Amino acid sequence: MIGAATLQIQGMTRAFGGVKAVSEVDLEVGTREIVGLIGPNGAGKTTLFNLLSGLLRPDRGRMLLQGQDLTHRPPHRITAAGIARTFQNVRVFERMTVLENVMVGRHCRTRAGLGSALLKLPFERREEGRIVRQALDYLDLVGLAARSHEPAGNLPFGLLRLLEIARALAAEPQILLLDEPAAGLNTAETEQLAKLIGSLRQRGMSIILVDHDMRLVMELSDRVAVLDQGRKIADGTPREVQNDPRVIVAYLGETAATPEA
Amino acid sequence: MRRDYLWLGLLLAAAAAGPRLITNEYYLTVLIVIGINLILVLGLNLVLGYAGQISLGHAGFFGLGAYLSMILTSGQTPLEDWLRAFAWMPEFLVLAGAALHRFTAGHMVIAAALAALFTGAVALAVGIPTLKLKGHYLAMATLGLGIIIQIVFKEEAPLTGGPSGMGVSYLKVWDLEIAPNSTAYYYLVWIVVLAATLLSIHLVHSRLGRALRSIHEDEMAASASGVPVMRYKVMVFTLSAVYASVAGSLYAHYLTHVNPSPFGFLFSTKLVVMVVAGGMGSIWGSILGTALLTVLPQLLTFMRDYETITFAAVLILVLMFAPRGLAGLLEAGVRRLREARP
Repeated sequence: MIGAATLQIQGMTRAFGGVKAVSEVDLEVGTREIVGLIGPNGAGKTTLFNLLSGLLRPDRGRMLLQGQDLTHRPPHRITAAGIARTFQNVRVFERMTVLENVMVGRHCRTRAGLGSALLKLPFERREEGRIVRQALDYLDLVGLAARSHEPAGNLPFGLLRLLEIARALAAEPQILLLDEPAAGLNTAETEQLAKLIGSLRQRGMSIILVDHDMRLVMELSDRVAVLDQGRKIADGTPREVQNDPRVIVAYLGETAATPEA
Repeated sequence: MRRDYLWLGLLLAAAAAGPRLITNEYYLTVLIVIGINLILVLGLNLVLGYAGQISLGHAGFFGLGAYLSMILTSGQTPLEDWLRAFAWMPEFLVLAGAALHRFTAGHMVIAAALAALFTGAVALAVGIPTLKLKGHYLAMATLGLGIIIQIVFKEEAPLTGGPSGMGVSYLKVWDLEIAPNSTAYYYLVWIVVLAATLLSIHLVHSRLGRALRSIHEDEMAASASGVPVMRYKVMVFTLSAVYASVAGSLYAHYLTHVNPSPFGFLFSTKLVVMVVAGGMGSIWGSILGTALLTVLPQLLTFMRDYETITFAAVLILVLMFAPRGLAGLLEAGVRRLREARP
């Protein structure tokens, strides 16, 4: 672990009916650390993300961001506290422009209320100008600035993933949750994504990365945690995890033949 | 945004020129009614067109504004009489009601503001539980609310005049009496329309407006992006109820009489049709849709009994052939013209 633990997840548990989608998961993420989260389909990776981002409520367990308990907060307050995410099946606002999508991401860092919005007070105007500039900066970072005024729905899939990352970054997260960011990307796009993720770490961000592209996960991650049937079965450096017999049985052993699994 | 200001300027010019261009007092009536409907539809458009939340109870908020203005400015003392009718009502509350009425009867603009405040409070109280519902459930809840409000108008006869309603005084803006059906009343209504349009333009071009649109598109993504979804739904619902209440106050002083019948479910649906026909999430579309659908029944007076059918037909045709409404049709038309010209 690099630095002190920024995010601590303790005993996270969530069941759907009788099925424990996530069961007693502990996980710590340090500052500037990239933690890979892998596991076969249905292992509970996305459910864990939904718990961490507040979209689902845990049955049991806690999560602390720099000592602050965020466990039962609603999603927008978790984002404001410093955890932002992307979605496995990209969820951008398709009928808004690329720029507006990222501007929505600035929401929790800006303040203008109903009164100043209705009256377009000078404060609101200035803030609005700042939101545009900052949103453009984030688009620049992911390489989408040139398309900022197009409707987001016009972008090809690979760029939608980048747009979603830019929207998440606009919330200035300390922890970024990336849910299969490389799915559906070609090799060149994946390489670009890897560079982007590396540069985010440089900016001081911690990242939890879920992906089925094993090379990407192993290359980028400082640490890899493995989920199987809702439980964490291994947690260590990429090398340790790759050689862990439980992982090989639960995950690599059975599905290594199909790299996409 | 700059284009919106341009359109607003044009609307202002048209509204200012309106009374000079018309020759017949009847047209003045139509323009006043269009104005009142516009205030309602501009508010509903924020909820339905921008935030994507259905409200089938807006006529109820419209009615609350109208009835509260009537009660607060009445030449009689309905509020005092009604309070006194409750055996358990402490005397000081009756006196407070009487004092309030004495004050607002002389300050009708303040009466309208209080009506808007109260209507907003009702919307807030109702919005917090109901806006948790989605789709059909929200439609049913708001529909029920509208019906309940109308029942109160019918049944609380000492306060509301019951099914036959009550007379409303002429509007006095401070010491200036504005007779209904006068050019002055027209200007008053349209000043409010222009103000409501300006506020709507500002709102939709703010971080709140963007947040509302993001809620419309994908609530989960919006909340994960930091948008307090519930709070904004309730906020915009309340704001639109305030718009509706102001329209109701103008309506009451304009008709100089209120009764329950205009504030029913049918009118709520007509408002929804106006928003949809104009183009959801387009301020200028709403304005166009409202103007056309207010005038259309007047043009089709020969089939007056079938007015409701025309609304239904308009809704079906729009949904089938122009899902983005008149605004969408015009946009597509302009684009085609531009492309045709090399």
